[in-house]
Amino acid sequence: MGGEPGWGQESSPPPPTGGEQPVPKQRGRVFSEQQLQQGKLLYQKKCALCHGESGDGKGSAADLVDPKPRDFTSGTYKLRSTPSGELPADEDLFRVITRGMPGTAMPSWSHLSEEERWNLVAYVKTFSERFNDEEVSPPLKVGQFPLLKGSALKEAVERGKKLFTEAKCWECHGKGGRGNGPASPTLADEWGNKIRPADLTNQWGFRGGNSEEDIFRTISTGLNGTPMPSYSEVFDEKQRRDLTTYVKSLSQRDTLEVKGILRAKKIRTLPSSPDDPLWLNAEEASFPLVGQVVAEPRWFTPSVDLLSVRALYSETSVALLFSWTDPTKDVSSPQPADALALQLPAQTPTAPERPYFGMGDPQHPVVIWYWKGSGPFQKLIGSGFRKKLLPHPVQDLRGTASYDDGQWKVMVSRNLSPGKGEDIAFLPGKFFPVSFAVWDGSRNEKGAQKAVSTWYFLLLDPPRSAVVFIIPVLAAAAAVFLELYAARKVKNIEL
Amino acid sequence: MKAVSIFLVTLCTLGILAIGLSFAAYQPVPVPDGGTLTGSVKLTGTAKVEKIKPNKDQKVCGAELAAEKVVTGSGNGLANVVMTIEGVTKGKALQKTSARLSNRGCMFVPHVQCATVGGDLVIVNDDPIFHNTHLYLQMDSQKRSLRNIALPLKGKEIKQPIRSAGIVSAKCDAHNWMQGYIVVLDHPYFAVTDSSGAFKIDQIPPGKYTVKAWHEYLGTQTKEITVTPKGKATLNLTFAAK
Repeated sequence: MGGEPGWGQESSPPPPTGGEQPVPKQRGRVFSEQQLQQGKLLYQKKCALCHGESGDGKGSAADLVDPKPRDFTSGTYKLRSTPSGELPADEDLFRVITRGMPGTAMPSWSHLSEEERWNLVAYVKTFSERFNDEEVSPPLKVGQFPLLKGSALKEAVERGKKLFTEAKCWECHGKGGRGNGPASPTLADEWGNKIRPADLTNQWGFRGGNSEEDIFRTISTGLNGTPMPSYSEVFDEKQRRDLTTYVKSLSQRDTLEVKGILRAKKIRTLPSSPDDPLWLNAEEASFPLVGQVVAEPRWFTPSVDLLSVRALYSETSVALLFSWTDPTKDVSSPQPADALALQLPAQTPTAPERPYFGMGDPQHPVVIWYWKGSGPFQKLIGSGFRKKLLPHPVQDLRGTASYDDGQWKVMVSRNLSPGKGEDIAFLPGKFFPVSFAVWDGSRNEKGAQKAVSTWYFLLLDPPRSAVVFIIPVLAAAAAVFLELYAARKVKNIEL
Repeated sequence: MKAVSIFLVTLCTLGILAIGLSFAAYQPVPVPDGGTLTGSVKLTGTAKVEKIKPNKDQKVCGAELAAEKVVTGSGNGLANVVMTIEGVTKGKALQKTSARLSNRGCMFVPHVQCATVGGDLVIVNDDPIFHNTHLYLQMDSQKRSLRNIALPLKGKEIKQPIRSAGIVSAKCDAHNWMQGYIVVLDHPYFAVTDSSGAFKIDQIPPGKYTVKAWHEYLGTQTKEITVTPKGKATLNLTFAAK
């Protein structure tokens, strides 16, 4: 026994092709006692709340975050440039501290000085004996990805797409990349917690970053502690590069741009189904969702974290299209059904005041448009989360839904003018507060246990009045006339 | 005073040397009068054969598989028990033993095998579907990921050098019932029981030894044996079903 427990890499990592990381080269760096002490002080101040005093990932805030904080004592790190199963290189730890982990509670610490971050690297390594006992293989050289364009890009994407099928990435990530592959329901991490494959269409949530270099690194070395295996053993560097280019091409959102306003454009005829190409006329707005943590039972670990919405209106009606990623279609019992809700104030707002975001309040009731599974949309009246939701006297919502390859698309429409009972009239040019909620049945989300958004605004774009076009023409004509008149006058004087 | 400290330092040095020596690498030496250990391992009581119902890839995996957690053969012989002679530091030549782990019919074949440090682990997927081989080092109360290798291509062999001793378990994340073991040793005195529970270890230098019997589910037992020059030692063991 003794020595390095583990399995070696047979061949050396792919040949170096240049440097990508903005990380100073510090491999094999020896840290001084003073650095360790400073790292310890900083750790206790900045990191222990989540990662715990002893680095076991059981800090006092750990229960409130999902994914859970890393347990440093095991030496298992997801993001590495080193081969599968091995310890990370110092640079890998430095990079994660610097960038943070998107889609998790781990923020970027780039505001700390470089020296302070290195001190943290030094201290974090002391939590696992493995850093004393094991050698670390040389890190994978990633190199820069050339900017591919036109036919070169198209060809690389095509090759990558073939590899995506051949490498059976879809087994977990799904054919369209939404994390809904046939193997996805039973996946678990090293500690037995259920784990979801990444949604390759929402790359803003990639933990290790979403640049081509980051994706290439993950494909090559895998993610320790998770089912994501390493592909360096089966595919050569060029194949992994093509695969990376394809995965990158699946991205619909690299960054999360949150617009405060959902704009509805006016259109002659509204789309008739969720897949109607007329929806392409509408600009998509994406809204982040968080767990509902105000009312009991609270929900800290919501399944759906992003809802995309499009809106259009016609002379008579307004229509909204919601789409979100959900790996499983849940419409029948015993499991709760997937569901969606949108809330609006029950009265046309006259002041900037908005109802309480948790289903309104007695003074400011809300109307909730609620859809569940394959059922129709219901209209409900809410006046606070402590009050029972009541059915609205007028059920005037028309909805249709479709589910395909890990994505729900749900469409709803209503007349612009309200029916009887308390409800708003949708008037162009007015800002209507609107907020959303989504339930994932396969995660047992129901009732108060849901993902919610804060208030945003729905704005029906006022149609541009013809006056806007006529006034400049009239003004120009008047100017010409006046000039001619003035010229004539001057001529007359000369005469 | 000075003499005492010199004495203490010498004692410490000797102690460290002794510890170092006991962990020293295995030394091959001629074994002209080696003995043989044979025996068998039986199961008492009845083993429940657990059934696995694959939730995917049934075309390849089948609708039902028998778990190999406890495998018995004729006369209630217990298969897949790893027999090792503990603490042997020198003896017969240490031939590098490699392991070959096949992913076949959504099971690991063989279910339990031994290998030696310096050998290779060859992993291959014989199925036309995706498997990944996720290797863990089994420790007392936990396990640690060693390697997680994607095997999307049927027939492609992946070779990994084996660097150190220990019990290594294999899992497939895509088919979570799949389970296999590779027991890695740094000496040549080991055997895995066959389906009748029989095993044989030869060329053992005469002496007193502790023999360890390890079963993935039924636990570990140790027994003392004495090997006489060119003698035949016998060891029969039973594991109780649970």
